[in-house]
Amino acid sequence: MNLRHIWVLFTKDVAHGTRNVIFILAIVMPVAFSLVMTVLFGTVFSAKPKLGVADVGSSEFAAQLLASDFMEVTDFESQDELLSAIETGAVAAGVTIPDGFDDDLVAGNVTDLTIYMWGQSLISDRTIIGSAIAEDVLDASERDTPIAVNTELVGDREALSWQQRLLPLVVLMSVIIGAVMVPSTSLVEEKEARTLTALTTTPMTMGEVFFTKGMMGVLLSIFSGVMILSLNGGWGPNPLLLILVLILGGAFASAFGVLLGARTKDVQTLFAVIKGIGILLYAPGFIALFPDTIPQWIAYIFPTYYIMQPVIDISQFGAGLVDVLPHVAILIILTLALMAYLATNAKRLQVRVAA
Amino acid sequence: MANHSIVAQDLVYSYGDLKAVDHISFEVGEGEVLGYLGPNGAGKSTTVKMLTGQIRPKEGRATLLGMDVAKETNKVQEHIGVAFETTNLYEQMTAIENLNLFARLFGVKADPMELLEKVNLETRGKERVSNFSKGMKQRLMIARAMVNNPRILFLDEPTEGLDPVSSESIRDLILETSSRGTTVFLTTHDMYEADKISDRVAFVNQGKIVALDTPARLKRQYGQRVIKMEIEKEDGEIDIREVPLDENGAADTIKQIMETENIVTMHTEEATLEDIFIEITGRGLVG
Ligand SMILES: Nc1ncnc2c1ncn2[C@@H]1O[C@H](COP(=O)(O)OP(=O)(O)O)[C@@H](O)[C@H]1O
Ligand SMILES: [Mg+2]
Repeated sequence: MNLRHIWVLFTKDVAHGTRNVIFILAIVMPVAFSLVMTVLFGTVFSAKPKLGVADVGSSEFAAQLLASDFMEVTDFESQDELLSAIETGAVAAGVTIPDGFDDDLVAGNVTDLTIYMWGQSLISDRTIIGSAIAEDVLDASERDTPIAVNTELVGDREALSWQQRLLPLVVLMSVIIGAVMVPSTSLVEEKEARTLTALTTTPMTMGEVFFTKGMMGVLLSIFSGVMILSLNGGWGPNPLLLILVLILGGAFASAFGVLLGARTKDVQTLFAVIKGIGILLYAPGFIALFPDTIPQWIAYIFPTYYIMQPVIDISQFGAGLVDVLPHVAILIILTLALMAYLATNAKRLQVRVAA
Repeated sequence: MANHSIVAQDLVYSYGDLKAVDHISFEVGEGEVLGYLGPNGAGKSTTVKMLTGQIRPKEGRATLLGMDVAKETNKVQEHIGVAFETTNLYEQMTAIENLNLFARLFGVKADPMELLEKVNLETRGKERVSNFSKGMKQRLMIARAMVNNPRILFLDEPTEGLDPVSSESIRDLILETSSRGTTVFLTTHDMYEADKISDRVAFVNQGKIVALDTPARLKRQYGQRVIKMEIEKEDGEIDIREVPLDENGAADTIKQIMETENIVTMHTEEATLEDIFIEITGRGLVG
């Protein structure tokens, strides 16, 4: 790998674009989609999230929560009262503070705390509430080791709002469109114009060209992913982990894009192929739209599931590295397999292009 | 061997069942211009592709500047320039941008204006290549091939389809480049071009080299020199008579004509490379 070659081609591609339409698709689409969601369901500019607290004893910790600036916090007499308030959506989430909680916390006897979330609460609300409580717990415990904060949805699955159902699909689209379309189109265009042969007849190798095109896909994909999560308040408590998954997801989708571009001979065929397999790429997102009618395990057979699910787990349910590790591991293996295939076949593909 | 820029040993390439290049061997010396002359489909471009590392020979070996092309492809490619048969420029970029891009890929400092001057495009440097005519694109490709100041220049039919003036200026450029020590591998199906600028010419037909020598020696070996005369007949019509010079009794024949007929013009005529090509292969260079 010669970094100069990669940098030179990369700056050329950035300055002179591939098909501008695709850049626009990759960046504008997720934004437009988010805006539509926002208009329909109201995410970005919502009021302070509403939290209910059932303070069974008389806890300092509960008092601290009630004094929060970020949330509108209401006091409830009992957990039952709290839960029914959550079920009607009067508050977005609730937490029960048992008797003696403060002392137990300081003594290290508290290992977890459950937050009940209204099924249709906004993701941004969940994020704010979840992280505010986690922070207060840290303050109150006077220790560095955090306790596990669990979230439990109140109401059945049908209570999932359309926004929640759509988010997986939107995340998937934003990660995949740029990452698959840009490297594949860019490669095929260079093939059609025969500039690919001109490039590889210099000391630049086909492997380096693949890497550059893939890199563009990854960057674009991260960009779209960050955009969509920011616009939808989906960062959750683990933004770094989320970025890591976005990078991996982008790498997988880009490697796939490079493969597609390497095996397709013209743009028309490429678009036909993408149209054909697009449904397969987005399938996990569609399956997630209908949690009651479609058995959710079907999504497991689609590679892109292993991009989408960790993103959702982290951003919506505050999952940590350990929780998403199995999915992420599969994603890494799939990505490495694709890259290994590309690396070992770059020479052969170079010959096919030249001949 | 040491001062051979190009050594081709028993090169073979086939597309499926079709043998495009069939056991070809030759050497090109440093600073030499080799004209690779043959009709369409003879296997010229396929040979260029093997020599420049675009495709790998099925058999045999290509050595450039002492390096095995298949093994040290990138190192070889640092020192060569290739002007391809089919246009492959970045059409959305300007001529200067195209040249700069390749200079940066090679990691060399190149003056795009100087290169453009060589191919008479100095006034069009800031124009998008998509506005260029075919001839301009072809000339820009030659400039691009020279961006790394290559030791070997491969030109695959550089004047194909160009107007006579452009063709002539490209030929001058090739001669000038070779006079500065650059080895030139030139494919063409134009016998005039091959004759005029090649130090040696290889005749290629159906994937094989059927003859390889200097144009002069090829003509001496295969061609006939003739005396061509225009004779005015009694009714005023012009008759053309050719007398082969190298045959026995040629002098007597000519003497007899001079004494009995009214000769309008008379000159010797050499065989062209095309005549010789036809003589060797039984087919012409065009069509
Ligand atoms: N990519 C290819 N696939 C199949 N056959 C090819 C390909 N390229 C060239 N050929 C065939 O190989 C032969 C030699 O072609 P080429 O080297 O391009 O000849 P030239 O450059 O002398 O015109 C021709 O018969 C041509 O049709
Ligand atoms: Mg050719």
